[in-house]
Amino acid sequence: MTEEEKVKIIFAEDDEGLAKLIRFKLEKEQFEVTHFANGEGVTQAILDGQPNAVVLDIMMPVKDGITILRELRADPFTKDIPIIMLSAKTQEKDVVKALEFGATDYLTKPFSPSELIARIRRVTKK
Amino acid sequence: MINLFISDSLIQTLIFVIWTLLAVTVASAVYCLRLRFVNNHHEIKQKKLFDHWEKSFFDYLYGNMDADQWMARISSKQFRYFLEYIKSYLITLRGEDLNKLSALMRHPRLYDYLNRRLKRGGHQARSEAAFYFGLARIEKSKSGLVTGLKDRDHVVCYNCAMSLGKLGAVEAIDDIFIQYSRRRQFTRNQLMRILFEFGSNVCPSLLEQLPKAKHDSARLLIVSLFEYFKFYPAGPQLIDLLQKTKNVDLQLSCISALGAIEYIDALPILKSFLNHPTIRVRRFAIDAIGKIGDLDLKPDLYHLMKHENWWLRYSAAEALWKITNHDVRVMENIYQHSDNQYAVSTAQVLLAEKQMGA
Repeated sequence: MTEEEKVKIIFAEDDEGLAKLIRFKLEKEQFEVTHFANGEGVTQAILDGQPNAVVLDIMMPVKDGITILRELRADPFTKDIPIIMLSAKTQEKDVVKALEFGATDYLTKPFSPSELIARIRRVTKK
Repeated sequence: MINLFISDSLIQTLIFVIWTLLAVTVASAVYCLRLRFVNNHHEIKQKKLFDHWEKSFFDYLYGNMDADQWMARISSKQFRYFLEYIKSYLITLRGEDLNKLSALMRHPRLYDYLNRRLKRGGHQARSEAAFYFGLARIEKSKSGLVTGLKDRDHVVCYNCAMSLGKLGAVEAIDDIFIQYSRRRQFTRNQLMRILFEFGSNVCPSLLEQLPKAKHDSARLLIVSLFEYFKFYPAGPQLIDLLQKTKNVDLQLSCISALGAIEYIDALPILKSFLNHPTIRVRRFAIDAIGKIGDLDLKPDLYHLMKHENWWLRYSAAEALWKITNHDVRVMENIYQHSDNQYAVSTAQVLLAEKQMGA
């Protein structure tokens, strides 16, 4: 697969170990990955990079995932980018809230990285 | 001059106090420095090991390496660091990834290490071992965890119970309740968290526990779990408890649970509670009737919409709305034709709210 063909993913996750694992798994599956350890600068990076999909943790320092989600959905340049929320918040109201704000999908922790990849493939399928 | 006011012995005492304070200060400073040094050393060593393991660990998770090969890379002295390393993975991963992590924890070397700590370690070590056994879902640790429930340290007991919950060991429910009734530190919230770990599979065991429960706090908890998991077979016992108890909170909980499981056989007793002296109990009974949805109770609910208590009227209107399957005409009919001002205003409020999508 050439560099141009690679699916570009931006993901924000503050758990360092987990972020490394997700990155490893995604790169192994030939995704091009950019990682942020907190919410700072994520929106701008998405605007600049126009990734094929975004994976956002909800509880993050500096700026939480829901705020980023709302910013992206309010911007005409990013409103159609698929966004998968990945969170330890498992209650129905949290899932509903994220979907109402425009999340494409919602995955609760504990999760299976293989399932995350399957969902990324589904939302990026053109 | 001073000697005129302060005796020799007092001066000596003061000097002794000053020297003691000085010695304590120096000792504390040395202790803090040592702690800091040890902590720094621990952190540096941890970081070094984590970096060293990273690549090969992912190879183990997603490559061809097996548990024996991976464990051959770690010395027993490094186990505590390794457990720290995989902790967040054990917490956040599931499926095949968690199975591979569990395979490491089941490896005889690591399992024996944790088992030794659970049996003979200090309280911190016992507590951690119990925690990891549950996190990695190690089935063969069950008997050790059941023994750990009797540990003199409450944190160890709590972690053992949580891990038994993660393992779905419902056979340990009896022992957990025994500890709950014996330990003063064992709070209701802790018991609640433990029982939630078991998931809905815990309900049949709780059904056996309900008649044995010694305190209303345990009964309240069991009933609220029946409600949360909507455990229908609990219906007869809930009715029995509702008839026997004088505890209003327990009555409210039973009524609420009967409504949640939509237990039709509870309607006669719920109807009798519509005349309960406590308004709150009446409101709960109305809500439960609304959930079960018996149209025969329409006249009773309409009658309650005429009550002078606002909340009672409103609950009755809500219940009527539910049992008539959100039929606007029923409420409009009351609003337009009732001769009772209370019923008219309640119907008006409910209709307005429903129009606004409340």
